[in-house]
Amino acid sequence: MSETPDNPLFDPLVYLVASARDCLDGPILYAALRMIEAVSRTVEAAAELPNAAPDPFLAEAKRRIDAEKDSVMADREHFVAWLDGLLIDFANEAKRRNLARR
Amino acid sequence: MEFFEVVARRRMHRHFSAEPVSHEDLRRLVWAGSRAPQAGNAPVRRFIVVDDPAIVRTLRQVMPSFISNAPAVIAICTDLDQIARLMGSRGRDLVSLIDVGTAAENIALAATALGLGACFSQSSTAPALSAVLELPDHVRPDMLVAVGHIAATPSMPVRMKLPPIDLNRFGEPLEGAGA
Repeated sequence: MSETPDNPLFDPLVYLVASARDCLDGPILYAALRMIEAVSRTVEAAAELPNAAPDPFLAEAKRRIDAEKDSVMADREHFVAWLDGLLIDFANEAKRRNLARR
Repeated sequence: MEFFEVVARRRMHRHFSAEPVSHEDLRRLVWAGSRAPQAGNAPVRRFIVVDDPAIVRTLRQVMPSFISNAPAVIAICTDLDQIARLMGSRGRDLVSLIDVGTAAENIALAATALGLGACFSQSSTAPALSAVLELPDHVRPDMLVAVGHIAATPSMPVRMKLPPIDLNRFGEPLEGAGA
């Protein structure tokens, strides 16, 4: 029997491959939803990696994504505004982390 | 639960508890789906109940619109050979998909009546679904209905607006229309 690698990242990677195909036929707003869902699944998977350090920012981002992603179906403007806010928070966090590496 | 209350309460759920759905409830859901109308009474609909966690997990990976944590799934499929033979290309390409929708809605209504939640998923990854469910070539996977026990904190409901209702001709409103 061949060995099955236990790679937590496999889950979001399969989802991304399937989403790449699905996005060709779907509305652009749902493409955004697929990508944000992939972020949530990747954060969850990354936390299962060996020696993964807790990342409170990403954990909070996942919580926010899971709480808000449904809004794409209910209120497009709300979803876009929420996504803008998430992006700003990620940009600020990226800058903070990059400056800390100097 | 009274019928119109079931209709009013029916919504898509994406947050479920880990409690499994009993086979008795899954059978009742499929029964409700099978009671939906089919063009020509053609026996072309197939239901596949999935509650093996490994298979559900795989479906969640290959079906991008499956973003819930439901513990069970009912796949509604169409026998393409049968539908083409009985109803022609229109049956295969259009009518059978409408019939899948009616079956899915019956399942969602039955889930509501049973105190369960349901959520529809459809995407362009049918070949992947066929592979996972080991479907023969002539069976098309048309829709997944994820089902489960509703989480303590359910997803927010979508605000549904009543569409315009006209009387006898387009643009002539039906007075007092509304639920």
